[in-house]
Amino acid sequence: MKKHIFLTIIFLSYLGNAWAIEFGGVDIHGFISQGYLKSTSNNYLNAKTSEGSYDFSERGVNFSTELTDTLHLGIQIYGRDLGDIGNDDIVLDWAFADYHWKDWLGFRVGRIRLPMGLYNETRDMDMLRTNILLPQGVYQETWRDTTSAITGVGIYGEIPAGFLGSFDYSAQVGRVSIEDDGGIGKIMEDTGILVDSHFDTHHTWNTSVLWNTPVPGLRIGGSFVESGFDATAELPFGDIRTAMVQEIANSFGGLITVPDYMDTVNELLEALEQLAFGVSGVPTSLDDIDPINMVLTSENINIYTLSAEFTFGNLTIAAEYDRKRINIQPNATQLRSEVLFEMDEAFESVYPVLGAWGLGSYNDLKNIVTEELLLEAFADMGVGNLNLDMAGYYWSISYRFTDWFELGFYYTQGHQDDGDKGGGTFHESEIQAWPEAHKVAQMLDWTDEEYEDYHIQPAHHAYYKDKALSLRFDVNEYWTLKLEHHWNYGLFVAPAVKNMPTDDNIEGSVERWNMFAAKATFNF
Amino acid sequence: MKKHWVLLAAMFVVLFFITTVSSYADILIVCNSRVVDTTLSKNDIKDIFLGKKTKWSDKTKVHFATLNDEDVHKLFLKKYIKKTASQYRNYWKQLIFTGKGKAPKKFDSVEKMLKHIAVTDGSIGYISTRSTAILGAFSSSIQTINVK
Repeated sequence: MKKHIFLTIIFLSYLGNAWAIEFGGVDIHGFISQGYLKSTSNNYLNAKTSEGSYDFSERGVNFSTELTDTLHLGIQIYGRDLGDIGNDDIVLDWAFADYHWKDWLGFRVGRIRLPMGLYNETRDMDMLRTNILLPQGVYQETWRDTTSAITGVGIYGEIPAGFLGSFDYSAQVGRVSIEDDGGIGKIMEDTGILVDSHFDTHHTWNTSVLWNTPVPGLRIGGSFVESGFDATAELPFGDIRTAMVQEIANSFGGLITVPDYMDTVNELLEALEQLAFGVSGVPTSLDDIDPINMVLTSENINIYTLSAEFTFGNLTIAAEYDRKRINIQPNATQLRSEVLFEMDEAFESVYPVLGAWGLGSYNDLKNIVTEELLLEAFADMGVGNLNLDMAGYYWSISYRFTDWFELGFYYTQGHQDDGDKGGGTFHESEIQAWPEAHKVAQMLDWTDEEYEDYHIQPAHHAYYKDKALSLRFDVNEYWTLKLEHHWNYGLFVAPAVKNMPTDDNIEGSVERWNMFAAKATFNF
Repeated sequence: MKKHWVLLAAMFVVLFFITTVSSYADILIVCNSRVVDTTLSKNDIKDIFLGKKTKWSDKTKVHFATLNDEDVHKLFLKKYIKKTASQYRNYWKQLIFTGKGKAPKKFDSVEKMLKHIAVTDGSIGYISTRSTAILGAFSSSIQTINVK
């Protein structure tokens, strides 16, 4: 794969001096980046950065044409590889028709890059910024798939405001994508609770305003995104069935004993079989019971970003603040429906036998499983209502010394919970959840010590602070080389869950770590 | 004695003026002769070359052209656009790679740019005041813009 990448780069470098290829009225532009990441410890986005990783590349090509003076069409395809995200899959990055009716009002239809903050629209184009990694306190890589583009309709324009300068604005409505194997999907999988997640996003709207102030070089802006999603995923370990079985067992008034956290309905059936003294006709196994599918719903994802940028000659100073609020809750109605289906599979044929013992009707049995019971069971498993209030910011400064050399520095920090910047409450909640989780650990034959060491996340998993120094070299208009060093403190964006101790990495994550990055980009 | 100092100061002023004028090249904004807007503000010129002003007052489309001459290009950007060459290049790349703009037309020589402007309705460009002699050959098809 890497061989193909380098061959492509070499081929592109022979295209000549044209800053575009034009073919039959269609402009063609493209870019290709290849990077390298090496961290002193911890793994960034599951790339094996502690060993050094080349899984850090982007490429894209776009085609655009002007059908009339006011109607413009364009499309860009794109692929990236960042750790286990992207994996070079080619996706539609943007594709839209743009009707530029007036300079103050235009219309776009299709898949449009999402204006959010100063750099979200161009976050994949390495050649357009000084640094290699955008400040992760605001531009988290795990959110890239979700916030990169919106499919729908939008308006845009620039409104002159006399002595106040002017206002660039845009507003879009449609749907964003959450890739099943994208950053958010991977995080859900990595919790160990949900696998094979699939996302259906709700309606999304977004607005962005950028004020070009009367002060030369000063831009101030704000943007807002509201979205939501339904995430469908499977529950391994039969955890929800265990909760159900426990409640049903209780209803038998102690006639049978069901072990804590029994992991399959089959085990209950075995117990029922014993109770029924091997009455003929009772099934002995249900090998093909499907895993329970669950739906997690987020009605509100709110993201707002405040931005300021000041450019004076070769000096650029920027600062941004970002807040992401997310509420996720299990869809209890859907879940109960799934569970009742499984109960039918498991108990309907068994129950007549038990009914003879005077244990109530089958409907009584089903009524035990209420939505409240299921929500409680979910909460015990750590997938109850989840309210995230993530916040982050950065400030940056860069200076271009010559046509070919630019130096940049930024400081960024991000928090999993704005009300718990130090991660103390987060760590405490991990410890408090330990007794419940410990029962699962027992199933896995872990000792208490192993569980505590391996699964209780430390406070530094809840925050991230990063000082980055970047050197940018513009070989020519088409080639850019960059070197960058990061002094990191905390692990929130890494993401933390991927840096828990393993047999290969007994130490687990460390709070202070450094990372070196290098990247070469060709664009035309 | 006082007279001598006044004379000396006057000579310095004159010399400074002469040397400044002789070494200082300014920018001339030129456009196709059929463009109706012959007077523009600096802000108009900035908006045109940033792709934010796309039509002339008679609704014809604006076609702007840039020059590959590094010195003239940098002088133009500094005077009208308030960006460095790399900032201007990145600005357009941002638009191109998000589908929001088409790359500016770029010409390697003043002659080529003027030929393009002469035959393209709604086109506008810039040249150094040192190149005004070349402009004479296009007097019927190109006009200069008054910048207010």
